[in-house]
Amino acid sequence: MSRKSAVSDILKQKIKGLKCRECGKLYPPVALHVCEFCFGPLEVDYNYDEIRRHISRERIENGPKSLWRYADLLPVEGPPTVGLYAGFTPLIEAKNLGAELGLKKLYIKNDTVNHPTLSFKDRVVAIAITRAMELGFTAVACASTGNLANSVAAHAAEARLRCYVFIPGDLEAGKILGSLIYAPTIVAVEGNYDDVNRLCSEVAGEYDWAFVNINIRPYYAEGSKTLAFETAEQLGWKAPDHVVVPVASGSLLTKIWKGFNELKMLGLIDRVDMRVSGAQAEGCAPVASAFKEGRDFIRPVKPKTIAKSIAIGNPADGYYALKAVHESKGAFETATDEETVEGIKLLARTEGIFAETAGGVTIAVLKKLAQKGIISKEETVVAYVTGNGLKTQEAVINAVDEVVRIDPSLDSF
Amino acid sequence: MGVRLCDESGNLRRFVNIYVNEEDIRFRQGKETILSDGDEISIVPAIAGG
Ligand SMILES: Cc1ncc(COP(=O)(O)O)c(C=O)c1O
Ligand SMILES: [Zn+2]
Repeated sequence: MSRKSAVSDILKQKIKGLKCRECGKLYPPVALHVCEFCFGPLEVDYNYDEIRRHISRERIENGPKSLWRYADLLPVEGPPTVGLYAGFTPLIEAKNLGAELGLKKLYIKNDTVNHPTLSFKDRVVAIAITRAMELGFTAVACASTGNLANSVAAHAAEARLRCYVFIPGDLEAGKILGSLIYAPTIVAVEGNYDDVNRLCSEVAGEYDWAFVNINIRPYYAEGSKTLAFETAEQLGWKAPDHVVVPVASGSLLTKIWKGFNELKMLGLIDRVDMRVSGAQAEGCAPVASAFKEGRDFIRPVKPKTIAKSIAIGNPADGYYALKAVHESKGAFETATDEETVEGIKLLARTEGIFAETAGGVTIAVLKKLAQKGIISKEETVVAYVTGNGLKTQEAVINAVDEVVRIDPSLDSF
Repeated sequence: MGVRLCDESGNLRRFVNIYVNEEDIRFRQGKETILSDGDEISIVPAIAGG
């Protein structure tokens, strides 16, 4: 596939601009993420009338086998310049795990094999960096719990952009090496992700960099919708009955909900009778506890969990994730560190998929929701497994058997 | 600045984070947090995940 032919005729007029999610104030489609009036987050404002005239199931099905088949609903103007192979990951019918959990129609959306860095972040970064290049940036940056750093560093290498990644000081070795190998500038900050975030939003004000999850955030976040688009298409243009999604900042869950609803609004699926449930680690559950306590505001926490990729104590989109779960009549559950490790092992043992800690949390929460009857037997359920276990080996290294060591002789076997 | 940070009823807007000496005021006394001379205050909008 040549670069230019990846997407043949992308709509030029599909983006109207940016719009404040709180007060509705309009902005041009530039590198801006906060409403200057009310501090609300900015979102891409699409020209849905124009999109509706072009989009169809056939048009999508004839597109590339990547997330770019949904380019009509993604916030870039031209053809993609990086991340041409992101997305279009397998939707696996998880018969063995389903049998253990008593669920008849369970699917795993397997983003442990996303290209090129093995997490769902390859989706958001493909969009973010393509957009950043359209806007003329020559340097990209991010604040990251690990997966985003890996993906930004890899795509920056591909696009020959300068790259700066900021991470908390205590990340897993695999996550650090998984960025270092692409030779970006890596800054490990003494503190947790929320400290990194606060520092980065100040750094972003000083340097002319495309911070994918700060000034490029409105474009970046839209990439997560493709998890909903692919799921619907892979189920034969249908929304499932229930989805289970890991929650850190809450952006992923919010955008999966938006993605299904966008398909319905455009007539690509008939209905969205779907509940969205969120999964958090017990040691960092600010959104789940707001749900359980019936609050509509998020009280930040100091994270303490092995699920470092989702250890965000002050989630920017927590409020919207909570709202999506309420709107869809879903639920929130949490997983302890032990349950997270068991979740990783359960998925590996039943389906042959090695997920990272966020996946362990998701599977543990799926199990609880099934046991409590919140997910029922006959429902079509999709669990989003968003990152690869090879990156968080520390979590399970003491929870697996030892190898059997022998001399190379039949006697010793 | 006041109208940008607070809504009509005087509550801090949902997406504003205020830090005193790098600590979120919600870990202190929130709006009632008492400042001392030389305290460094930063006002930061919420940012997305990673
Ligand atoms: C593997 C994995 N899953 C899920 C998430 C949660 O995404 P969000 O911050 O959009 O809620 C993250 C990162 O933040 C992640 O790295
Ligand atoms: Zn606004």
